[in-house]
Amino acid sequence: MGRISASAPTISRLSRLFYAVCLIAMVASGVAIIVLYRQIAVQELVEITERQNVAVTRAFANSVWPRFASFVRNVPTTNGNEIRSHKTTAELDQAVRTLMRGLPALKIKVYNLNGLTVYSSQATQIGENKADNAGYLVAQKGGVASEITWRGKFDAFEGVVSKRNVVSSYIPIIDDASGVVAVFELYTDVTPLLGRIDEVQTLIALIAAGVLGCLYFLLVSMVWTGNRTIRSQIEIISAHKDRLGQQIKKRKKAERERNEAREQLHQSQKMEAMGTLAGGVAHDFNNILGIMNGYTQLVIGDLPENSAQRQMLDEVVQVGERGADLVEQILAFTRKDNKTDTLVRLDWSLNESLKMLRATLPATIRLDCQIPNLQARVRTDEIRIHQLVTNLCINAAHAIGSAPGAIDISCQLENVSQGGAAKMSPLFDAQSADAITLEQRPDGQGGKLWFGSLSPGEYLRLSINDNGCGIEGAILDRVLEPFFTTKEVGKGTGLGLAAVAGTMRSCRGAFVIETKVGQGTRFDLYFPIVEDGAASSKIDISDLRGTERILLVEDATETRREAKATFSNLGYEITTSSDGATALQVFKMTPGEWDLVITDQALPKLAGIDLARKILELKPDMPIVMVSGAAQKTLQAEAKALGIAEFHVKPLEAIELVRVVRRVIDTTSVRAKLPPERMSGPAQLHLNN
Amino acid sequence: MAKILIVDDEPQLRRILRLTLERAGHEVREAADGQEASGILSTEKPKLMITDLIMPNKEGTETIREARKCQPDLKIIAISGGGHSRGPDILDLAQKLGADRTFKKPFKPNEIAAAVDELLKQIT
Repeated sequence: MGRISASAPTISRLSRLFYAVCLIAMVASGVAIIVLYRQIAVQELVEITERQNVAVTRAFANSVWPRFASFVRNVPTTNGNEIRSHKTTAELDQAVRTLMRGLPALKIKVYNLNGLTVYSSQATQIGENKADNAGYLVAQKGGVASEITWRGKFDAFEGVVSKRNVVSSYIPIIDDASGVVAVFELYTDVTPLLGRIDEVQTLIALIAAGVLGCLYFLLVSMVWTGNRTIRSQIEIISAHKDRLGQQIKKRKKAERERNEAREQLHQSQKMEAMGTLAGGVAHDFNNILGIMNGYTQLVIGDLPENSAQRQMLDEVVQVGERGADLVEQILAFTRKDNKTDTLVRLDWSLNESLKMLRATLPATIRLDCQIPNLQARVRTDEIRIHQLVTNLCINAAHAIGSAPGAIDISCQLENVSQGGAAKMSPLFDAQSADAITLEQRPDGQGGKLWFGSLSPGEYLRLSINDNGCGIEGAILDRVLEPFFTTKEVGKGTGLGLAAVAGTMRSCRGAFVIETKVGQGTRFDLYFPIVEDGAASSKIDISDLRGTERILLVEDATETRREAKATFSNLGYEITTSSDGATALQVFKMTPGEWDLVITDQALPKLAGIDLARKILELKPDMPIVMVSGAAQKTLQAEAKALGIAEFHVKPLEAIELVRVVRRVIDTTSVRAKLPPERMSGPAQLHLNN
Repeated sequence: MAKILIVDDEPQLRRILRLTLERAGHEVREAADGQEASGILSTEKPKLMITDLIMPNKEGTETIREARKCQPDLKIIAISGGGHSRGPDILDLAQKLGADRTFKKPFKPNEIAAAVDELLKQIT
């Protein structure tokens, strides 16, 4: 899943980059279009104006020039004042002004081939030399040169004008015989035409902005849609991958459980055989012991109080009683259910047992007991507790041997939570009350053993800890086996720990053995607490377990995560989706894969009620549970009419949701088994509640 | 002193109980199973019956039920070594059916004798 989900941010980043590059490209294109248009338009304006100026010059050459050609070419002086005051200049000025009347020309200048300004409509410029001017030089060689310039103030025919765009053209006057004979410079006002170009440019800018904007929007929306499709595909793939992962996990778990079950079956077959044997033997064996002890006690009655014979026969009776205890122990670990229907104050029973034990244990062993006054009760019987404590303490005493040692016994209330002590986790994972998990120390010098199965809750923990020789890792897996003993022949029966396991199993408890060779062994036994006269107040989640396949649609991440964890922990196969549309796609692809759908009402893309409608169109018998943040009556009515199994208002705890799901699934499966005519009613059963 | 019926399929146990009770001065009758016991109960009318529970022909529980019906004032002590599929809880069952006291085998003869005395005192 890692690689697929990691590509989602990459897609986002690429999309953002694409949007930015597109925007820049669009703006650049718009600006380029406008600039290009202006350049072309202005260039054309200059060319047209130049052609007009050439035409005007031609008219001048044909009409005015012949009269003044000789004056211009042979002007007698280069002094401006002299030229201005020459009479021909006044005539020329008169002729030029007549010719130019009605034309857009602002000014005219005439240069001779030396670059001298022989005439200008602005008289002050007469006499100036333009021999080095680039435009003049082009014209002198027979070409035409024009340029457009902005003039804040300009001295024109009609007087001074301001803020004008002016095209000035240098045009040669060519005589067929002599070639270029003079140069004209004509200034034409193009301000209105340039204004027109400005208007068109604005229009083009607006059109370009509109078209490019639309194009940009189109591109962005296409990419966004594509992006969304990819994201929803990623989510679908992730959901599938999740499911696949869950299935693999489940399969592995099932395999592990199968192996455990096989092991347990083997164990329970052995136990059953033992039980049958024990049950059969017990009756006759107790009869035999009864006869032995009966006669012995009759004889004892006839003997004097302190006689040696009487003492010997007392020993016979004691041995007979040990035999009876042995039978009782064999029955204790093979028996599964009887004798467990009494509520026992563990602290009282322990104190009773320990009183007797103190007298039995060697003086070299210090017995340190910390048993506070605990009100809690456990479901077992006192004889079993007595046997359990005796067995464990005698084992501890044997482990300590003849050297001085200590046995610490403590009992206290403990709230056991799943996330608590790591050493408890095999008890939470265990699948049966008989489950055994083993962990040897790497050096083989001891290890840990977990017996039984626990759910989180309140327990009485009885700890018995000795500093004896410990148990070797290699034999740890056999300690619960009936008749397995490390003690010498005649010293132990090998039934002590098997009986302890039987007792803990029968009261639905569990225990942990932790041992290290040379350091000692610790037993932690967990007894479930039973409320006085009533069932435990703790939630019994065993009824809520299931293996059904659930599709959960919820957009709130935390709620989704919590529900997913709760359902998974209880064995359900749960797939989640954060929006209605994706959930619908998932459902469409795999309609037969679901046992129940849970949907929130307020969802992105497709509301819960619409999702439910579409799912029910595809699969009318699909059980659907709907949760909503608001208790809208119309929505509830709509849900009911649609055939949604249950409608609940938030907040709804995850465990409550599991309860609802369990109820709906159970109701649905019951309905499915009923004959068709009885199926109309209960469909809306819970909606009325 | 009273007439007491001992019902057990194990003759040795019957003998131990007979010896114990006769020493205490009681008159003892013996039966090897429930069927034989029924006959003695109807003819001899003992004050107290000590019966085993698991026996051939007719079991102790049935014997107790019948005896309780025909002779409501009969004092009954049930004894059992448990075993088979029923376990020692068969003694609880016997008590529910009407046994006044129960003992697990192997029992101590003087404890039985004490219980017999106690129950007989209740009659007188």
